[in-house]
Amino acid sequence: MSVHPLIHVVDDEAPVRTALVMLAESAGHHAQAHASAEDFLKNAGQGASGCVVADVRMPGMSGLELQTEMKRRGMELPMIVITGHGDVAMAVQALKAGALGFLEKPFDDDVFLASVSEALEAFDRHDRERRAMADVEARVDALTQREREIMTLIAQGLSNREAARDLSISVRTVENHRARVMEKMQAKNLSDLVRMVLRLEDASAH
Amino acid sequence: MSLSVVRSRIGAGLLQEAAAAVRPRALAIALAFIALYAVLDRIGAMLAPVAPFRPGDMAGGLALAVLIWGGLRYAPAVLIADIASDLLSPTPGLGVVGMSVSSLGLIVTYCGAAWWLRRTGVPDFMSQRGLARFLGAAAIASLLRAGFDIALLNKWGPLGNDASAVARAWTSYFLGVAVVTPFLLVTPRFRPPYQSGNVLMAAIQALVLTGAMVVIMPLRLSDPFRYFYLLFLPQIWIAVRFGAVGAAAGNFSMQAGLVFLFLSPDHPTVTLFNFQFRLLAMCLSMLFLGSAVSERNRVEEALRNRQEELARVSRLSLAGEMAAALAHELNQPLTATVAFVRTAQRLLAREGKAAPDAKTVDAMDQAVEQAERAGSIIRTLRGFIGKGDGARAPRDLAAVVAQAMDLVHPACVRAGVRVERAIDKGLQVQVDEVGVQQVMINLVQNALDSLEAERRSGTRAGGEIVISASATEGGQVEVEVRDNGPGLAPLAQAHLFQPFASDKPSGMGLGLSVSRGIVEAHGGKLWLAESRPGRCAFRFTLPAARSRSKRAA
Repeated sequence: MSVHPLIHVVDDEAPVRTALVMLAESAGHHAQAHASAEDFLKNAGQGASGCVVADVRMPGMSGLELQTEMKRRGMELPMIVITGHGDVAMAVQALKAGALGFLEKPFDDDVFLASVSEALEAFDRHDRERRAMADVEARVDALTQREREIMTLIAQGLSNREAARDLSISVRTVENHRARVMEKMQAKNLSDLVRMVLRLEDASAH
Repeated sequence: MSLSVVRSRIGAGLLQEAAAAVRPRALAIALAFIALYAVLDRIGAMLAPVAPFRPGDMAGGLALAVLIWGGLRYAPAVLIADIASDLLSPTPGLGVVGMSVSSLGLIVTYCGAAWWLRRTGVPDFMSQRGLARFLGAAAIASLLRAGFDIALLNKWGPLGNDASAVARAWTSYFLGVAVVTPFLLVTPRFRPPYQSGNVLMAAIQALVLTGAMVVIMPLRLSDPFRYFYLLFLPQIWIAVRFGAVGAAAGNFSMQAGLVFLFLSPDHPTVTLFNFQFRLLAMCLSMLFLGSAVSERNRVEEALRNRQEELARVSRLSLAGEMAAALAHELNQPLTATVAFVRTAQRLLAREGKAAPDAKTVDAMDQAVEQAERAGSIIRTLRGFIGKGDGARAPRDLAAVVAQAMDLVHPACVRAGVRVERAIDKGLQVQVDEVGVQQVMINLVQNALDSLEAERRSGTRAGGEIVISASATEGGQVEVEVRDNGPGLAPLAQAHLFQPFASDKPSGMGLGLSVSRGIVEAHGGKLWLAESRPGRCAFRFTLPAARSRSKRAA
């Protein structure tokens, strides 16, 4: 769990990727060099963390193709595309496909490091969200069928009485279930619970 | 206000309008035309007194030229000119009424022909179709006029019921029109290339033509036909060299020369008619030959222009691609340089207990600054050369490909390669036409080269290239260029789109790189779809034009 987020530098030219890795490390980041998009996919694997800095034009798989391939494999690493060609069309295409940034070579350290930091933050934010979501999902799994029904109704804004009528059970029973739901979901109050339910619905909608 | 005042005002207004309608320039032209018409008519009358049997009715040719050029508003001038000329040199026995009716016949038939021809503008004598249209209209108009005139002569004139009279009159009228009208209509629009070679050539040709006429002149009474065909030689020469303009000028000079030679009415009419008939046949042959030559020249010139345009664009985008390739090659070390120097600075700042020497830091800053300056110079250079992005417009893909194939067709024929096109009809793409043609030419040329190499090594004969295209989902059109050659070597495949990588001895290795650049500038992709012995295919995508909205409009 304590694995550092890595900056994956993908460039077909050794001096470039070495220099960028060293620059990132000098700023206190952890970085790894890959000679090609294929290498990166082989080395990094599914559970990779951090972000990717990749050249647009490389022999074999291009940066843009890597972007689609990562999406296909469900690797949610933010990507920064770099190019020595200054191709506006490609930049637009990369950004449209979800790249976080586009840097034209040569670039100064602050531009590079700012982009990288932003990408790492984005990854971190997503990662935290993912984990929180996984937590909530685990708690929901611990609920019984009836408790889940009651949680859904309450989150929709129904009172205990209305929920009891809906499910044709006594108000008393609803109150008991409700207390257990709050406990199991570790919800501080009703709005906390509603937020969790909404987030879950959001996630399943995507 | 009394009624008479109103009436006179209206009358004055009408007069003013009429005066305004006749522009001074048109009036001057009409007067000049009338004078010239009278002169030509007078010359004809000196050769043969009866109007329909003159050797080529040149005045009639002039009239038709004016009507086609200026429109039917010159009809009154033609009528006046013909009546005036008839009064100056009357046809014996026809009388004033008969001659006036004959003039009306001229007006009706020639105006009809001029009106029909003018619906599509002045006839284009440099195309077979335009020439055929003109000659067809002229032949019919002359025939109607001849029939009308002979009927008049039968009624009032000295003529018996001569069945051949219509044919003779028609020959005279048609010859006059065929000789004079094209000459007058074509010559003023001709912008000749005034090179000394052309002028000298024209002078020699005129001399030879005159010589040929002088040779046949002494024979005009005894046997004018024996050496008649001598005239063909200079005429064909002129038509082949100078096209439609040459043919028209040659015909006119010949007619003028022969009129001069025949300038005495002491020859038998029948002989003159026979001679004229041969003249007409020759005249028409020359016009068709000349227009065929002109048409061919025009097509060749259009093709040459397109080739030049393509070569120009090709050079430009080659320069652009070289700049891009160079930029990439130089930007890589510059990127590394900047990153290394900045890393060193950071390491100094972190590890040194004391603050790093200000001069060292400054020197490193300057190094980075200079590297970045180099980068910006490269960027400017690339922007300066540009990527050759032409304006994009909706185009019919089949037409774009057809034009590109025109340019590589000769090479395909030489190599004995069959090219098949299977492009869906009505595919509209939003493209820079010249750029896409360049991609097509590059791909076909590559296919051709690999087939050629295989043929030279004797492995196979009868190469084939198939170009196909179809619409794909997502508003794209996918084009494929396939050949049945040996396919690409694995090594070549690895460096396929890299600039300066070529597996051909004479190649610069920019063709595919340039093509990919063009396709990507259109937001498309270019890739190697298949490569194995007997089947090698490249594919690329282009944005489809929204043709649906066009059809609705």
